Amino acid sequence: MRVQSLILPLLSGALLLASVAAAPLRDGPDGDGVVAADPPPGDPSGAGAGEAPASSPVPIRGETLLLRAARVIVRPGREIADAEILVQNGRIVAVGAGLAAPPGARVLEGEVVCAGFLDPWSSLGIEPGSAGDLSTTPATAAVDGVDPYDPAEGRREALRGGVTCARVQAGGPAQVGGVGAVVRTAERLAATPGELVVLGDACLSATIGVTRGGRLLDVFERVGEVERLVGQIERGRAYRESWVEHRHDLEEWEKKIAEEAAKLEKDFKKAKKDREKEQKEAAEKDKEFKEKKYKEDRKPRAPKHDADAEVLARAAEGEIPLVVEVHRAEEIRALLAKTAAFDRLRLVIAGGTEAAAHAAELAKRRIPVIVWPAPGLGERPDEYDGHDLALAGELGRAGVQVLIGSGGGPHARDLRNLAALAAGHGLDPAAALAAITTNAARVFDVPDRLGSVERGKDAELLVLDGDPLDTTSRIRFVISHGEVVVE
Amino acid sequence: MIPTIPRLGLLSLASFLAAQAPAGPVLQVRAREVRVGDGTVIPNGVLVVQDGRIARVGADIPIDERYAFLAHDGVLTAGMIADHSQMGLAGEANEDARSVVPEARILHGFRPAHSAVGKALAAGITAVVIAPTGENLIGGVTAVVKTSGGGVVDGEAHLALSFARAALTAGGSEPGFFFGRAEDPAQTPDGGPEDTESAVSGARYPTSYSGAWRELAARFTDPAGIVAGVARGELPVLIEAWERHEVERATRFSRRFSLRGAVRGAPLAGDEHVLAALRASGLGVILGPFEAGQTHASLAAVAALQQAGVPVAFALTGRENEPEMLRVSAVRAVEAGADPVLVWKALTGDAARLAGVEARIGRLASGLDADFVLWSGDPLDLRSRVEAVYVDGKRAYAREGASR
Repeated sequence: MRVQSLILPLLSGALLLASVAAAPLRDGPDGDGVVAADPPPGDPSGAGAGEAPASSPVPIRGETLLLRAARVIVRPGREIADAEILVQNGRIVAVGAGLAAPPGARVLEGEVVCAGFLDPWSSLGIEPGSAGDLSTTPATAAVDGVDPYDPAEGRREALRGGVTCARVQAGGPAQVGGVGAVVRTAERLAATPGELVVLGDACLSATIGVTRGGRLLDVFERVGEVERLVGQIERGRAYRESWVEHRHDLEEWEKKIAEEAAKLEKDFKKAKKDREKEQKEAAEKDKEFKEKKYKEDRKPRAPKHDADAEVLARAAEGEIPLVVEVHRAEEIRALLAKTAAFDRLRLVIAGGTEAAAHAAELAKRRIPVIVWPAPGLGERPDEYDGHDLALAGELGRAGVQVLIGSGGGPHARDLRNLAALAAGHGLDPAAALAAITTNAARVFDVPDRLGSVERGKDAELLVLDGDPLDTTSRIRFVISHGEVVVE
Repeated sequence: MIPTIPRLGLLSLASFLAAQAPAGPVLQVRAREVRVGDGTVIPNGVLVVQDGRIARVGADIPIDERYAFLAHDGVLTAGMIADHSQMGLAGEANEDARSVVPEARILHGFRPAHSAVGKALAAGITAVVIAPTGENLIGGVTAVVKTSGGGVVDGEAHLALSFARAALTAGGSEPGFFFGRAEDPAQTPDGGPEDTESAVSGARYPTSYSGAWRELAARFTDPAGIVAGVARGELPVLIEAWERHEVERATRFSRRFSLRGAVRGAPLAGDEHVLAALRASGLGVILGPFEAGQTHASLAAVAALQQAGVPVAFALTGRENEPEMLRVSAVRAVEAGADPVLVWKALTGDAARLAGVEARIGRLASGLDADFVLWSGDPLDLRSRVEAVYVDGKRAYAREGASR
């Protein structure tokens, strides 16, 4: 029995460790990653969608809003004429024509209702030191850098521009910036992280060949950075493999131990008799009794926990996307060639000044490109030479999924202008809107919550007096987290 | 220099004669919308160009089949004017050694074939005011040039003065202009008696704001050369002034010497003290370009100035390689509450007025140069693109893949 009593606590400990390592970490730190009663997407106007639930199972918080518009853009390319949207408890509870306003609901009217914009490339609300930190590692979390006392002006400006959510990143220019998050923009929410953060682990970010602290890298350093990043991804994969192997070894070992225990149990009486006999013989011969030793396999040792490698592993395995800011054609070529073997990696290119040179491969491998930057960002580093929004049009025509980001905090309010300019440069208008709504939400794993006007989605909505990308139309109301934050 | 008024007389005579006797090539353009520039929109309007000038604009003009005709399914407007830039100057925009160079002609440094000029044309900008940087107390004479054909609308548009901090430093050791710097809300309206912090001791006289005032006042009290023309009111001034106290000095100076013209800079022109000073001075304001991180206060200045009746135009300084910034700046102003019709005027008619060339360009009216843009839609909708640009009645740019 001694053997068993020794094994069991060890065993459960090892199992616990293994289960921690294996547990998916998809939920945000706020634990709010699950949408209750999420309907199948894409059928908001069909039968049944037009009825609001008679009673809500959760207590109603905030305002009840009924939005009414001549044109409801459910998602780019899918619209309903003369429809209403009912918002309760921070969520869209119904979308359809002919909805009546419940008692006490505030009715907002406009020409057009669409989803709030999601800026896929931002540092809004991140404390400036963290946003520009060069010493970040894969495990650095952008949510930790959110500054609740951030000057509200930037947030307010972003909201005025219709940007209700953003993918934010600490360590923007660092080689590896860490884990990015999707957060809400509304200033009121800044001090309550639970409401602010939509998804705490939206991506892992990295940069290749960008100017850091004014220092321009030479060509060898730049290509060296591709190698280093690929090495990091490999490290993540190896780490994940080492855990898988460990779990396997552990299972084998447990099995053996269990077999051994069963055998002992079975032979227990005989073993006891044998032992007593041996003891007796030893006493008779006045010899020292030697306890029989059971030889058991050494328990496999768990790999050393490595938070950075764990995040890299998640990127390598495609659990979170890997966003790489890279500009020059040669670096993009090297990156594409060296990551081709990682079949689960979800690569996203950011910047991509010369990405058009690889448009065919980007389209084939379904690698999205986040196009930046805003016009008038001051002196641009070398890697941006020649970059303008014509890139969006070129990539779009080649079949590459284009996202449009503002590239930084105070520029978020320009997101709509950038998308409009991209449309002016030949990006299909629906693709230009998708670039800051549905596609941005999809790339960062929040399509179940953001980016479209459907039942069950978070109430991040805009009421406008014209097309969302028509820069002569005004944004009348901005709704975030179910509340009217701009009017 | 040629005095402004007789020159204008010559112009209108010439256009009168041109209207009487058709002597050159005629082009007729019909567009879905013709925007004259004063808020008037003519649906299915027709523009008739003759001999490089606009002969007629209207709704019910019959198309003469003998002449060239073009139908455009979009919007036709006058070309935009960037009212301050160093376009095509290849770095020759200021004088390092001397602070006062009134006789300098910026036009001598202009290169019409510079790549930035062609980019501006493609963005729908048909004329630009080229001006010295604010690093010289008196930087010389500005010019209005076209972005195609090397045409000079006015070789002597303004005399450029500067009350900006940059003029007080040694040879531009401090960054010359940065639209954001002067937005610091902490600065006081008067900047203190001497603003000693910014009175940077440089190698070049003057080194203080009061020194700058004394130097300029002396030159205007006993004017000679081109300054005399300015003092007589024949030539307007373009005064660079950024911080609030600089703008106040500029307005006080122009009142004292009865100058007309415009202030270049003044990001906080919407501030009530600055606005009152500007209104009293009769000066216009040339704002922008509005950068991505521009504060709301700067953007809202356009609306405030326009409500107060102060003419506004937009600059492209420092962004000559991104001419789209002119239109983007205007859109940013509209988003911050400015009236779109007035903002469009700031890009065209008011820009021409502040540059003293409203009799030549800036609107679609008989007798004016046929500088116009065919847009795919509303030019203040950033989705709209430039389909074609005409300068002096000739097609100067057509978008690749456009229908014509």
